[in-house]
Amino acid sequence: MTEDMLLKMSRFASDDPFYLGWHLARYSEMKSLSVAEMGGELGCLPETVNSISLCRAPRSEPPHFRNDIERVADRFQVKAAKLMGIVRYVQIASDESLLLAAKDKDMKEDKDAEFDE
Amino acid sequence: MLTAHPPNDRQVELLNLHNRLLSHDPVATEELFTMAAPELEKHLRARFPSLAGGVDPDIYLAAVYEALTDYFKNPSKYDPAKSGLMTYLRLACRRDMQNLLARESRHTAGRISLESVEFSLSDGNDVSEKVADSLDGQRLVADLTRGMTPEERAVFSLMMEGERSTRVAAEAMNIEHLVHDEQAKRVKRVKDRIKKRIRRRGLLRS
Repeated sequence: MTEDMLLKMSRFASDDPFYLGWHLARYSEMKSLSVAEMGGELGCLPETVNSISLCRAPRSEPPHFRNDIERVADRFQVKAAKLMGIVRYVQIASDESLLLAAKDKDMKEDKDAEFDE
Repeated sequence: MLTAHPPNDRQVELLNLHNRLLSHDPVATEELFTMAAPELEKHLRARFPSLAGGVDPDIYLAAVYEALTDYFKNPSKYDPAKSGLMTYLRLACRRDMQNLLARESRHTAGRISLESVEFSLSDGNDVSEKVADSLDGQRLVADLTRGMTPEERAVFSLMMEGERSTRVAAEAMNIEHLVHDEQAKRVKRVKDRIKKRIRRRGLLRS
């Protein structure tokens, strides 16, 4: 696969939580990191970040989560602990934003109900 | 009598990747992208050599990405007993490419429609007929394909592209493992059913 194709495919994957690329892209956005800086965090080249993006996201169940992360880290020779930290960080941030969105929705519905009364 | 060729090294490797995908190996997707995407893109470029003006040239890659992702999310939909993985993926890519092109064409028709309204208002010319013609064409295709089996749809798409080869139709129908005579017989049967549909709508002479 050419570098250009790899880059484009990893961009597509960054929109789908099915791929690890989605987690890496969210982390980069939250921390304002370039692909090169992300590579620095993981201890790999920017092209490797794009390849990692095309891996399937780890399953969330405890026995599988660690194994899946270690499998990816092993394949691409990156820091497993760092990769695990990134995925967890994004998962928690996403859960929190979902909670906040739900809370906002509840508050809006309460206000609408008060207004209707 | 049905005959099948023994799998080559590449097919064995692909089958191995398929099994790893089924067992949730997270790196199998990346390996399949690396192994299959360039060939699938090349296949699409050969099958859809020219794109209408304004169509994003990355549409080939988008179709490959969609076909692979759909397969990754539902790997059990692929049955290794029926066809090789690349045959399955090539067919999936062609379907996704056709869907993406249809989506682009609807999008363009919508854009043209708005533009033509503006155009008619500005200088009195009515170009909406051209748009209606293209929309009628889309409706006709939708009407013809309604109720078609997946293999009829696949062969119909090939007929629309002007593809006449039995080998290509057999590949689209996932029957390339059969002997040539049997392939030809089955392809003819499907083409006859499609022609019958078209005749019923008075679009083809008997």
